[in-house]
Amino acid sequence: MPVYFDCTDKEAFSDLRKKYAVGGFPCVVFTDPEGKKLKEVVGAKDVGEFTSALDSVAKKYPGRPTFWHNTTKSAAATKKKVAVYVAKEGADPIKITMALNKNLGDRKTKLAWTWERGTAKVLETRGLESAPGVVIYDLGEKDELKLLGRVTIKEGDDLKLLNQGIDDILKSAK
Amino acid sequence: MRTSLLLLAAVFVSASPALKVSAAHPSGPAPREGHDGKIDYIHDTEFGLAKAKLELRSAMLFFTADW
Repeated sequence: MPVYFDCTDKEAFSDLRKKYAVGGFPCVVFTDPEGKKLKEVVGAKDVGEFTSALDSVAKKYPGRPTFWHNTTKSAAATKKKVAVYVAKEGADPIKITMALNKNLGDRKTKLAWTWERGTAKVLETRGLESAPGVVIYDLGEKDELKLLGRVTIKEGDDLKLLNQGIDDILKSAK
Repeated sequence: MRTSLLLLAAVFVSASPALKVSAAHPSGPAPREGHDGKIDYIHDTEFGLAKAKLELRSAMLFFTADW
């Protein structure tokens, strides 16, 4: 699971940098699923050292898939309609994933899902007044995302409302 | 710093195709297109760490700074 930490701001991610003893940049830390440090590669190393570390941790933790894609780009690569879940800032990704996994039904696989945190910039980009919400796109001829519709829900709302909104968008897109 | 960052990026894109796929698409088969050999990093770090935990995968944490 490749995660990018931009530490240009010297205070950014200070807890994690301390936890993983990051002393210089660039630094790649490999962890187990619970976040325990397994290996690190600091600075520019030869290909062998990096690929050896990557290969060994990937073999040890082959994982299981969820319905999330990392970005809209990787979601679009599946050639399905793309659903961007815009989470409320501060929301717990694990709780959200568990709730959606339980409630979305076959919408999990019909659509290619990705996630964004609902910062002001993201809300503006996605045209949402508030989060949480889902924005659904179709793919254009050149794989560009074409807006099909938006669904917003209030925290605590029954997720059936979200499902209904998604179904309405998909019906009207036919 | 800038030079070493570029060198490390070169290490990433020089990895074997299989490794590139496993890094860019840890949750399944490679999609048909779209990555140009680049790693599909998750920039929402909290979500990335939670996703690794949920998917029982190791995480590759790339710490960098543009100093």
